[in-house]
Amino acid sequence: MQALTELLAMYDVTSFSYPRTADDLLAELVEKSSRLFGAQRVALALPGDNEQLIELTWGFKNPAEVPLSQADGRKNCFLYYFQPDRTGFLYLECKHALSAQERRLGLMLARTVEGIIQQKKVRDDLEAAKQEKAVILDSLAEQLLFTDRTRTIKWANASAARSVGLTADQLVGKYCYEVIKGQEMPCKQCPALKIYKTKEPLHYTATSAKGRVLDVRASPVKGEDGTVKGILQAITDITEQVRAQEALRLSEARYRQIVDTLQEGYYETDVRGNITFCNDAACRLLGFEPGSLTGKNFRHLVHNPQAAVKTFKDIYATKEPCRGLVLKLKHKTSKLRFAELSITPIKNREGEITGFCGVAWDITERKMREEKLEYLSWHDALTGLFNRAWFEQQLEKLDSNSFPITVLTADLDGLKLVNDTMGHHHGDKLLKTCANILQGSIRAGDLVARIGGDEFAAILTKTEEKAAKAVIKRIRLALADHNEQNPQLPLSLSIGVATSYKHEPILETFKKADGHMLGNKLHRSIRKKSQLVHALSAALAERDYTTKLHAERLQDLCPRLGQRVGLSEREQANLALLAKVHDLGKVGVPDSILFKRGPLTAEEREIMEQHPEKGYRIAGSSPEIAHIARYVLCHHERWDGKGYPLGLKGEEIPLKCRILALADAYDAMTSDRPYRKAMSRQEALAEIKRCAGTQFDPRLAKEFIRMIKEEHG
Amino acid sequence: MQSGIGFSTSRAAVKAGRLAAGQAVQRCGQPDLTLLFTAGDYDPADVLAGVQTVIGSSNLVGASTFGIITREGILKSGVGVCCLCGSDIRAVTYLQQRFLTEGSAYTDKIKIGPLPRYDSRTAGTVFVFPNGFGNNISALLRQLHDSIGPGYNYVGGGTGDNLGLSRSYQITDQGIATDGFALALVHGIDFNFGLAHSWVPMGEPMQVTKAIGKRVYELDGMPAFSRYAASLGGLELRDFPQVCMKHPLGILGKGGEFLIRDPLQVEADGSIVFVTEIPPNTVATMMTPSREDNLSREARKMMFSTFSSLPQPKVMFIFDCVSRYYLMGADLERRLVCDLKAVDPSVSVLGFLSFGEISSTSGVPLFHNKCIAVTVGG
Repeated sequence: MQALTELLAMYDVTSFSYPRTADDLLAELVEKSSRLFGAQRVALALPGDNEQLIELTWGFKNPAEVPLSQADGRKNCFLYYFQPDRTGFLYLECKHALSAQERRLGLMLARTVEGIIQQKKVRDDLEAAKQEKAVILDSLAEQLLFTDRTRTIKWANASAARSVGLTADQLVGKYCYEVIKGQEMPCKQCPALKIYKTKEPLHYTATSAKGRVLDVRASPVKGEDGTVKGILQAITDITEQVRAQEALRLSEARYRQIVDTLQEGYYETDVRGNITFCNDAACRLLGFEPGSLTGKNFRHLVHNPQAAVKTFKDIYATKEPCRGLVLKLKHKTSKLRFAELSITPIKNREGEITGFCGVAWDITERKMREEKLEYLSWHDALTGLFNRAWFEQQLEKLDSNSFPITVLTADLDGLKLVNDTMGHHHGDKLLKTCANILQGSIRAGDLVARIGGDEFAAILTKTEEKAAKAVIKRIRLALADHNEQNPQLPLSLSIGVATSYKHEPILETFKKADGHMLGNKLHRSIRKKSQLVHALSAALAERDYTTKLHAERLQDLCPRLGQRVGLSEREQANLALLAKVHDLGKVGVPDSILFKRGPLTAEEREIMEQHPEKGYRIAGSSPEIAHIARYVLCHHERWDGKGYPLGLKGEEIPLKCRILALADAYDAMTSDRPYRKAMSRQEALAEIKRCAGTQFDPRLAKEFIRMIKEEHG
Repeated sequence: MQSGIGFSTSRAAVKAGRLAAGQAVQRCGQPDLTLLFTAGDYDPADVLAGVQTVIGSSNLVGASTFGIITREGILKSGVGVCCLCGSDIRAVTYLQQRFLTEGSAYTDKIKIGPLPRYDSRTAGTVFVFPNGFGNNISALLRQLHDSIGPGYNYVGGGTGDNLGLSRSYQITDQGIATDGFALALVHGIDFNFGLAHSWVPMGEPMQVTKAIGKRVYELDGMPAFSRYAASLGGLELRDFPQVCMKHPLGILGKGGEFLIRDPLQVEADGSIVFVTEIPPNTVATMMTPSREDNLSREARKMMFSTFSSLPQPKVMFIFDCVSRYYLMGADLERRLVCDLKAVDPSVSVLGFLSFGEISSTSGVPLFHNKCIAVTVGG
């Protein structure tokens, strides 16, 4: 081979295109070796992935045919092992023996292939590293942009490209402000300028053209000379995070508002019971200023914290919430406060309890109502004494250690009369007074109860008869003092007592006492009732002086008319008595009606028209005037039957009542009233004449007119 | 071995085939292998049918050509048949319809169907006739070598019957292909092979910096035509068709020999399309005829050398590049006829003007341009 052709051959064997694959390398190798060397068979072994050998052949059926072991001794073969580890090789086999020149060329060829393999490995490694880096960078959710001094994007990762709907290649060459902000001009206070000036990283927030909130961390990329060559921006879309934070803030504000406006108290504590948070309602519940409960331990805020401690411990153990714990609170101002708590454990992500929270309802009123109800269930609402149910329960509880047991019973005399005449208000007042006297007369440890409408009873344990009598004496003295100070409404008690020394059924003792009381009542009844009537009359006279004078005039007028119509002296006396007490029933009429100046309303008139009946009851309860009780009842009847309360007509009305009606009307007309002046005699008589036959008995009216005319001319 | 030659210029394709085959068979008897070449406007299927009426279903391989080489000259229209028979002859034919290439340049992967493989320890000969206008025939030959295995000599030429590059047929007893290749594997015949051209390098070598298949884009980093023209001291584009016939490129082969690559046309981008592929990253040299008359001198010299190397030659096949015909014109035919007069009349001579020549004189089959390939069998 001439020098020129050898030179050309040398160039040929050392000029390879960079093969993409091992097959490409083999193809090029086969072309050159077959053309330049006349190689009939070629084998190429390359190091592959995972230290495996890639064996490629041309002219062989399979790699196993390659006679590596015989190659060295054969003149038509060329074998070269690739450096550095000699795991790969190049094998050429020609038809004829290879010349020295061809062997030299073969060596150059082999070393060229060796260099290509190494170069390819380096390139492949670099490419793999580049790909790996690209995969890593492109898989980042964070957007990465690299810009130069003109703010032109030189490189972008996939996330950055996706964010603006472009590919990474399409982003290159665009301006960062164009891509991020959709602006045609740079930002007025471009952060990049500051970075180029300070050469320091910058962290800021920006808003994209699409309204996304971006967190930008921009770092200068410096060259070896320290100058900033460009800026790498790491951009994170924090729009959702910002929205979430805002939503959280709004949610927290909403819930805070809810918690703050709750009427119920809301609290949170740590596991030791120290309050970590509570709303204003919780503070108010305990009388503290808002925000001042934080840090306080609940043990110091409740009476008897043991129940609460136990409940909290149970919840800690079971990790289940609970409701209904009732605590008595230590209000700051010592007010009585009760609260019902719900308690829920607060757990962390691991499920461990880190504290407690709950709601506290102020149940003070409810508690008070409950206590009141309980009190009322055992107490008499009017007098405050224990009631019958309690009394009977106590009777059952008495044991042998209580003997001797004295049972005292007392009955309030005339209560019905007072209720009927003066109203229940006065009757209740009597009952309360009686209760106070009894309560004040018994000893500490003795128990007294109201066991009926006007009945009282007391249990005096370990009390003998002598001691019981002392108690009764105190009661009587107290009664006397009261009646002396309240003569208008005296108090009378019938008392009975019985003492049991042995294991006698206590009911038997009670029956004995009650029997004694009844006997006492009977003995005192008549006298006490007369005293009551007199007391009532006196009370009425003291109350309404006009009624008293009117009664006195009628006591004079009625008998005179009675005499003219032929009544006996006895009947005239009764008539006079009737005139005196006929309005006794007005003792139960309220002053607002009795002394009202204007006309009465229908309701007021109805009350007023009840006084004949009340007077009838009062009169009937007094032996002295019981015989005229019926006349008291009928003294407002009318001849025409339109009177009250019975609507008697004509001579059904007792004569005395007819006489009283005339005298009563005449006197009323000829007397001043708060609402009118008195009529003249003539006017009154004319009115009587007019009403004869309707309101008045016509015969008696005629007689009355004649009597007045005769007496006064 | 016996051989027989037959020719016909009958216009009727079937008749032409039958007549030519009849002549050949008459001389050698029922053939073990038949070679069929057509030239001119013949329907190859009809020709084949005509031939097969004579030879039956025996092995046949053939091609459509620009011209059939005979002792008497070059038939521009006709049918030529050569029959070979012998007790030792074993042949098998193969026809592939298309070059199914993937990629380009070196990496063309020629999809070849299952080929028969004889015992490679016994030397054999492969007659191969690819579509002369096909892509990367060099890669095809390397693929054939890899598939069939070493130990075979190759001879043949690219098919094509006109420079319009439109009619090209490859023929076997199995049928006709237009863009594939036809081959016959033959054992039992001693063949000698020869290849010659008379092109010598001129000027400085050029680096093929960019080439894909038959198209060279750059030489020495410059547009191919620009560099080509510069190496000739300047060339107008309009003169290229005439100039390129005399100045092909040569790429280095074994032993300092040059493989000739015939430029065909210049593209708009300044690239040059060659008749056959030029590998990139190689060195190409401008070639020129050593002497005008050496084009035939070297051929004759090789022909005789090949012929005389066999003790009893019986047949000679000649595949002469069609460009030599265009270059030498009628002189080629005259010189061929003259040269063949020196060949024993008992030797059957058949060949054709080919679009590229195939020879494995270097040890492996290579595709050549502007050469004459000869094989002599006996």
